[in-house]
Amino acid sequence: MLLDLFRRDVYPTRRVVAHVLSHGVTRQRLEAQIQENGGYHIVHWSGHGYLNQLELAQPGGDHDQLSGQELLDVFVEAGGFMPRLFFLSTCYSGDILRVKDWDDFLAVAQGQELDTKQSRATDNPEAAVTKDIPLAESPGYTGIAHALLQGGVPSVVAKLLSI
Amino acid sequence: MRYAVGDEYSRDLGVEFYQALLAQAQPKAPAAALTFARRKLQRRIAQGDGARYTAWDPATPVLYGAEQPQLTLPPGRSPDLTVRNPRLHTIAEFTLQEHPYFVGRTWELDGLGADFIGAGQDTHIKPVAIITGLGGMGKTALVAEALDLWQSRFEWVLLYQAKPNPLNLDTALRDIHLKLVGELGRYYDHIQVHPADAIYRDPSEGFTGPTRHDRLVRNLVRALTDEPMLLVLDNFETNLKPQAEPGSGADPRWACQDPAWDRALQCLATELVGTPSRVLITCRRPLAALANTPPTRCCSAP
Repeated sequence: MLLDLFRRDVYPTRRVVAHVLSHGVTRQRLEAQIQENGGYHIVHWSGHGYLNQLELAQPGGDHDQLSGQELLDVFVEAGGFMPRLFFLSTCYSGDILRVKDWDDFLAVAQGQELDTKQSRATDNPEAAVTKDIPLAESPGYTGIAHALLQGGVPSVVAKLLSI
Repeated sequence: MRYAVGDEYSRDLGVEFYQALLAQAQPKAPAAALTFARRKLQRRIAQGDGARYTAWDPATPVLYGAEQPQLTLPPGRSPDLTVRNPRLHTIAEFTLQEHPYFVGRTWELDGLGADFIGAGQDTHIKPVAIITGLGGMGKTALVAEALDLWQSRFEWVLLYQAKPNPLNLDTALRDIHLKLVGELGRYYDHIQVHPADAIYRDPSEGFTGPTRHDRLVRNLVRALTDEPMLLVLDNFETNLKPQAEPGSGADPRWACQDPAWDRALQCLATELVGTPSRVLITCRRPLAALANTPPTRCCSAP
């Protein structure tokens, strides 16, 4: 679907290129892909995710898991420029402030989490639901989005719950 | 407690997000693009068109960090619109249109991606993969899917089917040679300077039999090392002897009727390691020629 969108609506008017890496993606394939292309401005990651873990494959068929810091390391070691925007379409990729109870969940659902700067879409169509993360503070654990932001990626779209 | 968010919502959200971010005449910043996408899907739900979404979906996507990460979108056509088709043969069976109901086989594709396609010139990658399984299991459909996923990684894709008759090695080498010469590319330039490196040369005095075949296969390896190519040999079982090799016991393997094919496959499996080229074979039987270099088995016969 995404590639269809690019071919139909994006490619005719934008000088951009989208590369797809799918099926049996290992750390080595990921790093080589970044290396061969000198980096990517936008990375869209779709797959299985857990708290601060993204699922990858290992040669031979086993599963591999990549933490936010390890993902960042892959980009750093591959060289080239760091992405400006990550879109993490995986479970819990944005789970930094853990949803502990029903009140927390309702707050998240309404875009009103504690310690966040947010502007609600219902108030202004051109304003996004955004969050500020206190990067200098260690929340006790990290998350994928948190690690990427700490590593210098300016913007990360991530999911709070399980997909 | 876990709240499941639908895949459908995530896919649709991605499409609407990139539509707003990249496709609109006035592209939106990521923050606004995300809001645009969320609102569009919310409207869909409100209009009764979002039955496939779950109640939790709209609560999940959040933008962290900068609302405007300074993305610049150069105007003009994408270079991807002018990407050429690397296939040097037109065979309908290797197109997705011929397999509209391809489903599953994710694990087989994962195996091919991790162990066969791999990364660049990774020496752990097996450059020859064999998809084995009974007739009708979807081996050719799997190849069509693999081609759609990965053919853009290769400069040339060469497709051969050993049906209804066996594929003669000489015929295959001659066709590869002619197809590559016809493209007037790197191979053509090389053999202008080094004609003895041609993938096909007619037999001549002192250049016949196994000596000739072995040299031609070495020339094929040289060409495959020189530029990334994908060679597909489909329905290879017609090239095999009717009986399994003696002594192969519980793991029977079949040798080729023409021993030159066995030597060629062994050579490709060892010499292509670390090169950008790959050989993908479909066959109902495991090949004796590849017994020492275990290929990726994608469809095991039940």
